[in-house]
Amino acid sequence: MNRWALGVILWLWMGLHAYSQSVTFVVEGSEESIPGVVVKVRSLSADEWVGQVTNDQGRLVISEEFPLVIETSHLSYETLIDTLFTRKEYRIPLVPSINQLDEVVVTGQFSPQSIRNSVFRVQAINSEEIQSRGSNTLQEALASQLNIRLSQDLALGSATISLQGISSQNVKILVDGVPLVNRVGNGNGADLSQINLQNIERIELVEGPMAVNYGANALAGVLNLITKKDFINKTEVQLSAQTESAGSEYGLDRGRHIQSFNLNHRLNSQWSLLVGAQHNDFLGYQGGAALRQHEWNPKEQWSGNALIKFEDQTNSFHYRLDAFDELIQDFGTLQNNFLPSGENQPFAIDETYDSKRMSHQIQAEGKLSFLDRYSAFVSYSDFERQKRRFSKNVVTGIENLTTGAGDQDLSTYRVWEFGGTGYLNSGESLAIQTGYQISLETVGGGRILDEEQSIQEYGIYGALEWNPVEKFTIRPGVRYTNNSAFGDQLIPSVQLKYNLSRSTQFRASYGKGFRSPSVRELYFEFVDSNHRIFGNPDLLPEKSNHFSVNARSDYTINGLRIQGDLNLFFNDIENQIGIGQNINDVTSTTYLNISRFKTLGATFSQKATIGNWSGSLGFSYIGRFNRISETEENLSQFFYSPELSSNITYTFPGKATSVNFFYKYAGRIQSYFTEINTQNEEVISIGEVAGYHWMDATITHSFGERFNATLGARNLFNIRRINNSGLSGGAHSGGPSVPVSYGRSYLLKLSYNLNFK
Amino acid sequence: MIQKRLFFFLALIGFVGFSACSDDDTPSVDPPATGSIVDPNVGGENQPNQVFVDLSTTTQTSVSRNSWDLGFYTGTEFRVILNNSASALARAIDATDLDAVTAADTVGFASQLDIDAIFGALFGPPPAWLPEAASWTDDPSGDLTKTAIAEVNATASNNQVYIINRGKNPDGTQRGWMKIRVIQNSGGYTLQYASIGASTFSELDITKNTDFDFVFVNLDNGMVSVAPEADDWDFSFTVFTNLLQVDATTSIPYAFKDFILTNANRVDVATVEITSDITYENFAFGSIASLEFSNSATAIGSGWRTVAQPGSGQETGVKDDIFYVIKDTGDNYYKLRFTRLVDATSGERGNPQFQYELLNNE
Repeated sequence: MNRWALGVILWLWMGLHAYSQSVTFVVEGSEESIPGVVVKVRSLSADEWVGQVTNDQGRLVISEEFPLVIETSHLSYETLIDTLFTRKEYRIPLVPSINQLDEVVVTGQFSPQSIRNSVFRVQAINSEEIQSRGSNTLQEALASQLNIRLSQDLALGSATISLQGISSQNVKILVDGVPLVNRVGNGNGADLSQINLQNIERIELVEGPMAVNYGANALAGVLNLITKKDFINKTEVQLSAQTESAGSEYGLDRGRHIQSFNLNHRLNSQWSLLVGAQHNDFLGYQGGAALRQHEWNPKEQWSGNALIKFEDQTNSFHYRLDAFDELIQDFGTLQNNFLPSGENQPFAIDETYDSKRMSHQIQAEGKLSFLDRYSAFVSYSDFERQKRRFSKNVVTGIENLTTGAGDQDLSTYRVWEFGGTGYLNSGESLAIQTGYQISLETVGGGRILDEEQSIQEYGIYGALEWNPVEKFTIRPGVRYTNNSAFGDQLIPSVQLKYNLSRSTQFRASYGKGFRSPSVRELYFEFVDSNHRIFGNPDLLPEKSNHFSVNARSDYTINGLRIQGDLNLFFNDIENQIGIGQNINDVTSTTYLNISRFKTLGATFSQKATIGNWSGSLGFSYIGRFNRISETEENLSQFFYSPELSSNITYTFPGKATSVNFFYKYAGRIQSYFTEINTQNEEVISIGEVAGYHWMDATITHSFGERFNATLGARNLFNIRRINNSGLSGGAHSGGPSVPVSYGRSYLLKLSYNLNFK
Repeated sequence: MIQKRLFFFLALIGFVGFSACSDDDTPSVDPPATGSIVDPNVGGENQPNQVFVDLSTTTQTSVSRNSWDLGFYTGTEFRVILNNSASALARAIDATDLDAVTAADTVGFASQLDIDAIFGALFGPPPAWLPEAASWTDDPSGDLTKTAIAEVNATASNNQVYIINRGKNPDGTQRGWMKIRVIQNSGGYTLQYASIGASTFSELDITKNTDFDFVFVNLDNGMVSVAPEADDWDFSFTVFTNLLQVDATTSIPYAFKDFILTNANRVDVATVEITSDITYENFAFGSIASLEFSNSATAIGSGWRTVAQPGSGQETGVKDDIFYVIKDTGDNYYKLRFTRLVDATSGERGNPQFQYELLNNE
């Protein structure tokens, strides 16, 4: 070999060495490489960014001239910006992002957006969390959520929500943005135990009125259930069975037994199908109840859903069907009945409540030549509940329907809902969204004037997202609504967002919200010997002003990466609807816009991951307004109630097993009430619903790819009823305690997953 | 031995037969009923009837509760009661001449002197008149010194005019308004009454018939028969306008269904709680001494039943953990339990049933 040749080889080698240096990205704290990292590289001597993606070994080759700047981006890892000065082999660790932060959300967004970039403060509960808790209904999934309280109706086992101290009538529950119709409302006032989470990918929660986007009854906030629509594998089959005790009661005819089936399949690159079904059979909790009776009544639910989806490069379209059926049985106590013959044939008055809901949704979204994104939906929902009351002769077994007013009652809630949005991104700093919404509601029932009433609502809205300067976003919005019951509403809102840095954002929000008077409040009719209650068709909507400020930041303490969130809020509701005397007919009572209500509070929460541990800790402090303080002097205007919430997960090395704890302390809720003391004087006392600790714990384990098991306990502190000292024993008080649960229960869930790529 | 027994037996029959027909001149006294099962004819959901029960004869007397307006006491005092079962109310007018009272004197009464209006007033700022409402009804204890209409004075000119809201019919409709005035009349009463707008009035003389506690009057039909003779009933089923305390100083009239009034001062009632040792079936005369009896009219009241309330987990039905021991007007002791409150087929309220049994002193 001559020297010339050697020189060339050497030059080539050096050149290669100089211009093609490799960089490998690994997970921080391990040797695991990360494929698919998008890396932008710019040599300091150049102006252009060059993009590359790491290969299966997490490696890429850099041919740009050193020194250079790299910027990574990957959905699951924190962005890294670094300058590489020297020419050598690099192994660069990337920090896994805490999943929720970069989770993509849609509620209130112009287009799907990461939580970090959202102008609204959006919280998300993802399907892993739902699964790891063994949650089947929204009620179970929200049991340890901060700022949320659930209240239970013992007879029907229904659970209603309050959010930021505001009752369920003002919390709107949506499925893919469409109100979920229930017995008492179009989205609001829902019984959370009737909301099944099968095929729910994520629950998005936005506190504060979302009236501009979602209209009425979202005064406290919205819960948007995002259904599963994207399928990783060609075919996925899932079978699961879950069995639970009800307190200490368990058996084939006791406790709770759940079976689910799910199948989704991609027919081709454009069409996919999904069908799912679930049977959720709660056989009641007898507890200390008398023979035949239950402290918590048996409740059997069937639910099913189906999806047909089409998508191409620019558009997607789907039809979704949700069906639900629930049967609650309330068995009465035995009463004697002596026949003329002298024979005693005891009987019992039993009740059943059969609820059915069918909802059909057609949704489309995508791009048009003149719109950056559009979405549109049509939905028809049909909810009905048949109440039956019958007398059962326990000797002969003969059942007869009872004849009292309201004993047999069919309540119905039918809604056609239409909506659509268009989004236009005009340049870098301005985006605009406009939309419309039409709700046609028909509500029926025995205690509704003329047995059936209809309400129509038409709304149009628009919002801007404008970045006047870098890092700063302002989003003004306005909605105009016309409602057949109460006329026009103009609802403004404005949100501000400032990005101090990539890791720290500040948000401020003002929004007006409103709650439409319910059909019941407008058209109720109930007369018996002691009650004469009529709806008031002249009611105005309840209106609120909501203010909140929020700071979110990712920071590091002793190498521990923490995500913190501080939120302050204030809600002021005027024209709140309450019961009052009808001035036109003093012998009757009616619904009037008479009350005022306010809540204010602060929430501070943090999330962190240390090795195999991940956890969150949150604290909130909510003040609820004392109405009585308006008329009585020297009474505090608010009573504050603390909440503490923590979720902790430990994942064993190998990732097959994890242990999860879900804890919440729901502090006491105080209120003033008037009572008569021993000197027979009227005094104002402080009553309280006691605080309690709630904890669920589960162990999940994967047996290979296909089998999963969850073993868990709900309500570890065995809370059944909590004391309520604020009741003075009026004609309709339900006693001095509030039901929470039937006690500590255990669950086992087995699931089988079969996937075909 | 057998012959001796047979002899005694025949002798006994002979004796009984002889004594039964020995004195035809004095009324024969039937032995008290040993017990029965009774379905009082309360009349269903709206409970249109007042039912008076006599245990010793197993009889029930059913009267429409809207069949009367006023009861005139037959004892020494001169007292007038309102039809509590219809929630009738009365309020004095500062006048002693019935003709002088016109509609102008009753302005505002419709929104006050009305059981539903009083209840409705709870749902607003409490009006100044609300504490007075309790005085527009007779005291629910049955204490005749606390009637809505003042004692009828011997001096006629001391007796004021009263506006009467005649209360409600069982179907909920209003029975209307009247103005009345009562004066004494040779040991009895004279009732003056007219429609509020009328410029003349009618009069009705009422003699005290001491076989009864009250002489009952219907303002449309004159004297009517309601309760049986004073010693011929032990308790009654009725709708009852009670007083419901709403704050320290205010009670309002409020109608209870399924109320039981006992014949006060003539009938004693003890409530017995069922335990593992004490049951209705095994309760015997010997246990009476340990009971505490009450002679109050409301000794049973509404305490024998429960009514379903939202969230209470309670059902509308009888309280099955208690029974009663009743000493009736003939001083017989009965144990009595209510078996049901609603009809066994239709589930309709106002269809009670009770079972009772004589406790023999052996």
